Amino acid sequence: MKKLKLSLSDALAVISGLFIAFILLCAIAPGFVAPYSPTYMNVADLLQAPSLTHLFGTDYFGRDVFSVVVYGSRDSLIIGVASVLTGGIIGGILGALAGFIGGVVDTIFNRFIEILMTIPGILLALAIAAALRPSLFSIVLAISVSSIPQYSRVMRGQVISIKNRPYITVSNSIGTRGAVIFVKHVLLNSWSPFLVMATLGLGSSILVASGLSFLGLGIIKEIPDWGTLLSQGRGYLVVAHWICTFPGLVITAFVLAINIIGDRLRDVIDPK
Amino acid sequence: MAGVVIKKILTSLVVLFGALVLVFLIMNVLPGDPIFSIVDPTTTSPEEIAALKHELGMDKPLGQQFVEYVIDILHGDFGKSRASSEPVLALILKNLPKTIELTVVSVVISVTLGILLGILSAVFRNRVLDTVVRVLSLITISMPTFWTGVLFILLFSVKLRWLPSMGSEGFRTLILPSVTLGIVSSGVIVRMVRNSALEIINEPFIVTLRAKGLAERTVMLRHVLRNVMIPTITVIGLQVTNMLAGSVIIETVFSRQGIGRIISTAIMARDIPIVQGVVFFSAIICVVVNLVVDVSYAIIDPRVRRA
Amino acid sequence: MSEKLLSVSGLNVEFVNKRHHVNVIDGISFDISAGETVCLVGESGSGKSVTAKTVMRLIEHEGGRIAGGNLVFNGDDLAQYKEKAVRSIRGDRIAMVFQEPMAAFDPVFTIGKQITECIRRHTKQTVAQANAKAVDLLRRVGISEPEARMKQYPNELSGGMLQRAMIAMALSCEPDILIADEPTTALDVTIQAQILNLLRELKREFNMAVLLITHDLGIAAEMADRVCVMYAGRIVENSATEAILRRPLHPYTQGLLRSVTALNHDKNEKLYSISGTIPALTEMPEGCRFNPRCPFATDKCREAEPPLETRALGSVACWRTGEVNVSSLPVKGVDAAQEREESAEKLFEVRNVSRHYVARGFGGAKNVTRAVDDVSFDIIKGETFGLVGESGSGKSTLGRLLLRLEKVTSGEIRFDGRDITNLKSGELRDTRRHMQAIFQDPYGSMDPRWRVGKIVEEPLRAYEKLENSKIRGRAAELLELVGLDRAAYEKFPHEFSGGQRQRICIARAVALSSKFILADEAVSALDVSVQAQIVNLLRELQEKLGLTYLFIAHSLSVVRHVSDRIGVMYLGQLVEIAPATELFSHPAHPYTRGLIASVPSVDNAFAGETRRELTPLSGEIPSPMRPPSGCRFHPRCPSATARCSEESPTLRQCGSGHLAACHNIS
Repeated sequence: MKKLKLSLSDALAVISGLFIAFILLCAIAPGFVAPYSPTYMNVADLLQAPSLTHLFGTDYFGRDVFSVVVYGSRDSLIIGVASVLTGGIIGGILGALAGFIGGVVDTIFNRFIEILMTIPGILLALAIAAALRPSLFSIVLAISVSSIPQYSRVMRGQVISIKNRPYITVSNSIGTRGAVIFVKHVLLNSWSPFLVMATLGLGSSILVASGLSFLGLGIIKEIPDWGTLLSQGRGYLVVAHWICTFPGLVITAFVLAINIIGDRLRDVIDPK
Repeated sequence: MAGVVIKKILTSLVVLFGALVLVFLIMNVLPGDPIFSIVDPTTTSPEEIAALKHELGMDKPLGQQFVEYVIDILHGDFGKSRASSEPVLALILKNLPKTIELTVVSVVISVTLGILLGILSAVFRNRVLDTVVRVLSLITISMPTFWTGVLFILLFSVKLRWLPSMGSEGFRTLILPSVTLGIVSSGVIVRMVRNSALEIINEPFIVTLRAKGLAERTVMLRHVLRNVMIPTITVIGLQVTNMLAGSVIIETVFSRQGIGRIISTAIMARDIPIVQGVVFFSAIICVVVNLVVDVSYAIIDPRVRRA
Repeated sequence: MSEKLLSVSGLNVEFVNKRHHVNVIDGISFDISAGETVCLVGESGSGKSVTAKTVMRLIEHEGGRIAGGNLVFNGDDLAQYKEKAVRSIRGDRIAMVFQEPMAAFDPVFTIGKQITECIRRHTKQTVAQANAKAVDLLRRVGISEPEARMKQYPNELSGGMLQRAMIAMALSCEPDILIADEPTTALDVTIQAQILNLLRELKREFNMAVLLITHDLGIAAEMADRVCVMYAGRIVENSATEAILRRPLHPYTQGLLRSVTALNHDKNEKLYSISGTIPALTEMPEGCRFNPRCPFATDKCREAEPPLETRALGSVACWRTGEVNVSSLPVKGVDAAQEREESAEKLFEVRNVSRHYVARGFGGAKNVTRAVDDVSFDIIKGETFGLVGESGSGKSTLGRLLLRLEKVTSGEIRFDGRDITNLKSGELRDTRRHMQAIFQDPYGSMDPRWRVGKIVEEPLRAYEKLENSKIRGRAAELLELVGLDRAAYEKFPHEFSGGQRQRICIARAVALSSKFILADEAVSALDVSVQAQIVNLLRELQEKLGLTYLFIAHSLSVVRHVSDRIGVMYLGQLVEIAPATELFSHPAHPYTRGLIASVPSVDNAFAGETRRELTPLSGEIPSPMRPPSGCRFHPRCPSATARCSEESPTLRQCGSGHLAACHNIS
């Protein structure tokens, strides 16, 4: 048995994993983590600076910012995960089919993606979010449509590279059916880089979502998601920067953790 | 070579037309009558709505609306703002220079930082410098753009009072926004440059170069760098378009003039002609940037030049 | 004995990383004198390339480290030099030529720039002087229009051209030693002969020493003054070339020489093969590193490492020198030399088959690549039909057409009497089960995420509705049939060596008891000792299962050994078809003659009083996009006449079962 040495990147990955687990816990059981109710407005404690009683301070309603962040994690995560799933599945299927079938299908697909890519992601998301009424659904739709090109391009590239491997030629010469080749060889070998992409996509979805909230296209709810919280806090920057800085820090830390895990995953899958 | 460029331009036009269709569809076909983005159905009577629709030409069949829209655009008419009745094109052209200024300075910052740090990181692979650069670049790509901007304002404007937090006149107002935008995208470039430099360092031709007796510095600066530029140019092209999108946020954070700012205001006001116009305009810019990327590709990479 | 130019003694090289600490080169010593050619010969993993890179001190850039020993060059120990000092030697006093010319040039700089870069690094010449020198060098290495080539990029030149340019670059500072690491392995045999001739001429002209690294004993025989045979990081034998070829002392050398398929090898005899494979660097056996594969190993061999001792004819590292000789060993299971029944039943009938690729350029301009052009031949049931030709001759495309992996542009293909040219995919499946394929890269031919058992079962599951247990049982039988352990079933492809992987691919190919197997360069990527094992296995299976093979390879000697009849392809056309022995004893087409003459050979090298000169074909195979008029071979043909450039010859009878397409044979 080789001695298991924990390298720096492994340690980072472990810490990131723990942090993501913690955020998941917040999203699933916020009441368990948060010290206060997110809707409890303590009029006596408006705009309190961070302290031991209020870890992230309080906002202009006297709400405990930490508790709001904990409760807000649910919507933020739902937006992120749902967009990755929708965008990833649609993009993945489109890319895989275009790559595998090739020919005219591929050409049409390429033009379509090229068109989508001409409109910068966040602008496309903005346009979609603006056309629809603000809701969880419209944000998820906006983010997933704008992320389709990146997923489908990765999938297509991967499928094409697998399709040209000698073992696919062998399967063809054996006479294995096309559908079997597609599922058992091509997809089986293509999904791992795609998984990395999707992991990293979760981070960028959360970033785009926070950007949309910032521009006023977020969901207006009693309990704000991270992006909305952040943009609301902007108005108090000079008097109470913590309403803005701490939620931002949480977003950054969470996205960073996802990126670290994603990078690690890539190294494990594709050790160069 | 000229043939390739002409072909590229032709496909670009097709793509641009596709983008126009897409924008139009998003604005007019997605669930919800587009008119409701202007009026509130609960307070306006159906007759008033119908009258308004007629006035705006929104009661015509969608196909006809689209054809008219395209014809107008070909005449340089992007419609009028529903809020201020100002022509959209004039509004865009008035604000575009500020956005271009911001984007260009940001690109310069991010490309310089990105290539420099990326190469250094690859050369000193797994040393302290590399670790620091990698961690920093990972952090920058994990930060929400506007939050970075807000932090900068907090530090350099509110606390240190070195730089203005808002406005669009003069060089000093440009510093914070462009640095914010530049830093965020330099993270992407650093990672890209580092990875491809590491790949190129393992290519067999690097051994040949060393076997010729060339110094490591020459190998890196003359040969690796030039090879790294090939994939990097694509990423830079993507970054330009990303920055265009990022300007929407940055211009809002720093209250700067620019097309990003007008689109975000237009979105809040549901001013569809402006949204449509700006999105289509940025599509044009993207297509032009992509063309430039393709041509510079051909200049750097002889393998493409011949094809 | 002339002055020693480079003296390597007790050289140890190790690679150290987090997990491993591997000793790659273990105390090797050899000398090179001015004007001498020394060959390091060995199979993959023997450490020959590492040795070459260590002499240049390039190995340190790849994670290696000199752990001991000296590299004395002109009286100074290079092993002690600082990196900066080594750099002024590299490219100036010691220069190197690499294996893959295409990969060894920086793709984004012109050839000229890359050559002058070297000149200007080591001399104080102006750009104009360096350019002039580079042009001279290019002309000297046989590149036409050198001024134009200077301005071209690597992707615009052929592999042979690039290797010439690489040699020009290496010679630019007139080095004392030229190290050539497998300089011709990536090239076709005719180009290989040209490059080898060039190296010989230049060596004489510049009075250089040459350190030639090769896996090909034939090349060593033709080129070397002295041969060092390497095995698993050690030199096992070091002698003058003639001595080592005539009287090899080490069992490994003896085995290698015996497993080489020579052009005059008795076809009916099985090939001798060294059993097993080269050990992994991390699992070196105790004692003599060759002992697990040595037929003569004793306890002493298993316990103590034999030193390299000087004998009358050279040095050898073996405890039993003089006692043992591999050539005395019988080859296990000699073929009963059974003449196969002459059947005339045709399995494949190929009539006027063409495959053209059309690429549309800008403005609708068409570029037609005639990969296969009007080819007709038959494959008889039970025979092995060999197909040879340079790369670009269309032999692989032809193979793919027969399997219907690609569709023909025109012509007809009949398989077992049935026209399969235009079968629809459903009907094609019925035919497909009777034809299978084995390709060059066994690892690439297997899905890396599938277990070996599943890989072998793929054809069974594609056609037969059997219960799992039956399929499993059949797969295990197949693995045993190709000489693998049943335990292989649960393993993954990466756990096997190259030869074992090819065995797995063969097991898969015979799973359905198909009638026909296409073997496209099936042994080309394997080491000599393993190649012989696989060739023997293929022939064994042919006897047992009554298979018909189409055996495509660029190695003439292997094709000659396995084939009953051979077709020679040039630029998409069959130029000669003949029974194997007939083709080599009486080649009719000038191209075939040229090919045969280009093969470096262990036996011919010392046939006469002096070394023979290789007589390669001139020129290179043209692009199939612009084939020459008339006979496609005429621009390279030594006996071409005016008629050849106008009229295209057809295949004509010129002996029993012997066809050739040439105007100059009657």
